Amino acid sequence: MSAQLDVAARGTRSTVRIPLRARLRSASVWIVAAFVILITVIALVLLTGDDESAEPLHYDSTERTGMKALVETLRDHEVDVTTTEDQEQARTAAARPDTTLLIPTNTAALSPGDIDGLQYALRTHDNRLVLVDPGPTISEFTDRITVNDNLSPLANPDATSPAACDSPPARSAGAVTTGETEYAETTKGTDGITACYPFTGPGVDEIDGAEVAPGSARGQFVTDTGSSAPLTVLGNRNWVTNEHIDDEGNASLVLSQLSQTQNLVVYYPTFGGSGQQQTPPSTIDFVPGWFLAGVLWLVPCLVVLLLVIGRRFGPLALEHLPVIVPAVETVHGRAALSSRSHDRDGALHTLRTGALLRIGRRLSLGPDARTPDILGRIAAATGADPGRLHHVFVSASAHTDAELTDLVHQLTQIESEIP
Amino acid sequence: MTPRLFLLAVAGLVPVMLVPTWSTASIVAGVIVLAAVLDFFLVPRIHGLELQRTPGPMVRLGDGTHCTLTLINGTNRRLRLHVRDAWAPSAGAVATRSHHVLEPGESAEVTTELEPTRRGALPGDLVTVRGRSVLGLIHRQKSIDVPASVRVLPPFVSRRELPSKTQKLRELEGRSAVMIRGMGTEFDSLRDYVDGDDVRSIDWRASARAQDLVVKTWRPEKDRRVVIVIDSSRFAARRCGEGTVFDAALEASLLLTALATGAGDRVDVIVADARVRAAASSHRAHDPVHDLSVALTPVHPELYDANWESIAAAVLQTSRQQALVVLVTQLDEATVAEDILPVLPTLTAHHRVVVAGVDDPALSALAAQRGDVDDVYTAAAAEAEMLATASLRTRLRGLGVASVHALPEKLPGALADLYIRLKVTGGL
Repeated sequence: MSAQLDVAARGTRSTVRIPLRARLRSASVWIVAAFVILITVIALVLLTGDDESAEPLHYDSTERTGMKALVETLRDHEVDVTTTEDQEQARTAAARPDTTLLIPTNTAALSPGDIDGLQYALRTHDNRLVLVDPGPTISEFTDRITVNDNLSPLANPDATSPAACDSPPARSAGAVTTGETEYAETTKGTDGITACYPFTGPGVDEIDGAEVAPGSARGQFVTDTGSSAPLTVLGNRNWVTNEHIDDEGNASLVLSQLSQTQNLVVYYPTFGGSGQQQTPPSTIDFVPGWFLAGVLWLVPCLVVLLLVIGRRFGPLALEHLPVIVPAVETVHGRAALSSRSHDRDGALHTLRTGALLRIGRRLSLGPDARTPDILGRIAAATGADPGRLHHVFVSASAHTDAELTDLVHQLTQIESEIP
Repeated sequence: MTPRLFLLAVAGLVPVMLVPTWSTASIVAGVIVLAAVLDFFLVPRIHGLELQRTPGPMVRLGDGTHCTLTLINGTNRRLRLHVRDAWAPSAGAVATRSHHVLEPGESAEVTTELEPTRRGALPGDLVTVRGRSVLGLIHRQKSIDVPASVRVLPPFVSRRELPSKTQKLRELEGRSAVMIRGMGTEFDSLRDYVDGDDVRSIDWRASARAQDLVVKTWRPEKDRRVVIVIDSSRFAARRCGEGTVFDAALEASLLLTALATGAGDRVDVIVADARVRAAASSHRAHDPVHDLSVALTPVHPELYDANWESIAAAVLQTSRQQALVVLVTQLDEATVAEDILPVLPTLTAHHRVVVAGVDDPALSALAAQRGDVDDVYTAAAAEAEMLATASLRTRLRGLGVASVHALPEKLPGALADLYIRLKVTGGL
């Protein structure tokens, strides 16, 4: 009998070649996943490539303080603008002929060595350097121009400054907006220095005891053609920002200065960008190369190990469990319901009935025995007070939970006394 | 990928550390990748492998069995295989993994020992085969469905009660004519009168011949019909002690079958909920208990309501002559009142009906626990449940239907006792 059944239940299956279509169907999830990942990566690359900087005077920034308008205008007018944050690239680009190097901000981030390198590159073809409001760091670039400290602290310059010089670009630009810093020649009467746009207005006076001699050429726009590398200082950063470039004659002045050569290099120095050479040697420099190579080699070894260990030997085995209903739950549910509705009398009645039935059975009374008969037999069997029995089993009612518990405990005790 | 590939990668440390340059690392990595790719194509395809599962003998729950997996190399290449013969966790497969090297045309057998932890037809899961080449750097694996199942019969723990019950039945049979009159019509034998015998059973004619008082003894009828109906509806899925109500019902029906067929009666078993799930008969069966076990093995309770009208129809169809109909179900007030009582008259018209229910041990435990207020309310709810069952049994008794209500482990014995009582009192 059982042998026949065994044969019936015996299963045979040889492996079959799965058609390509089915394979593709099962692999479709992975193909779709690969597409999604590819598209995500491309989108990310595009988004990060188009990333706009929000830093002030940055050539890619479209914020109010950015400089993108200037750069794009110059490009529209066929100036070959190279923008970079990399000093090496800036130096290489600045060494080309017919080039102007513009450093709009962050000149404090450049070390004297960096500045020497840039100036050396500029000198190879007598290229110009343009600085935008460099402040005290102007002294790092040249000793011929300085920040004008010969200015009364009570000065209240006009909102616009007239050219007040013979420089053709300044004259054609006309008045420009006034900034906060004025530059001056270090030594009075230096050759090759032209200063335009001095502060004008009430309280603009020269004071005594300043480093800059009274009567020196001073202004917000200073050009120095007398030194080895021509230098132009644009003393107000508002002239080049997206927000103010179209005010007064700002655009005219700035664009005329930056479009004099075919090439323009905009170098945006960043703090920490060029500081890598100065970092102290880390511990990794003291580790021997062969050891480092060994440790690095262990990474692919680890990947292989994970792949070896991680591959499951077939899928998890399935178990079809039979259904099981936790039946006692209904009892708990009913108990909670009667508890919430404070059905003390109902609970007491049920427990009394159950106890009387059990006691009646134990005292060999028939199923149709009446309550008084049973109580009489209990009194006879245990010697309990019939009044108390009547109270516990019949008359008492529970008004509080405490009374209910007490009555039920008495009930249980009397039941346990039955022999 | 195999541990060998990992060892090869680790071995790559030596050249990389001796000449720590990027070119060395790339050459070594290239060699390893090349070896792995080469090995991947060297691995024989396992499409030609034939697999066959042969389940071992069916067993009762608690005993161990086995299943034999046959591997036949139908390819023309040598196969180096790791095999995992997966089974459902309840099948209790002890060791499922094995390693084989098969020449072309060669076959191998793996015997997986099984220690089932559950009754039923336990199916085998996928067979996973991993092949590798001579190099053994890469393996390719495949999971194949090889249908097979082992049948694990109900444990029939209550068979240890069978000898005592059979003995009791025999004793009562022998004494039955002496004790009560009219519980059998089949004449058995004559014997001497002893004190206490019913005077009405004295055979006067034989006594006159023998010059001594002789009584007739009667034997209860044989070839009676017993129909056991096991309810496999949602009530049977209730957890009850160790197992479910259905498990206890199976035990009870197995013991009753063993006892009744031993006493010469014919037993039919119907497992039904919304439809008839399984049916078995001892008629012309060599081993009725085994047949019944086999028939009941794959049946598990389902979350349906029982359709008692169709069950009654199935019972009437099963036996036209008078039979003892045992309904093993839940003594639930609503179900019995609404579903069972309407069909009872059709059954009681032809048959003697007995209702057997399984008592939940958790109920009496809850009813006895009376610590704080919550316990008291829970005890009251449990007590109400028990009172409802008791009143239901009283109602059934009023309708002439006997009932049994016992704890899962006591139910088989109680039902057997009821059968013996009915048999001996001529209630069949």
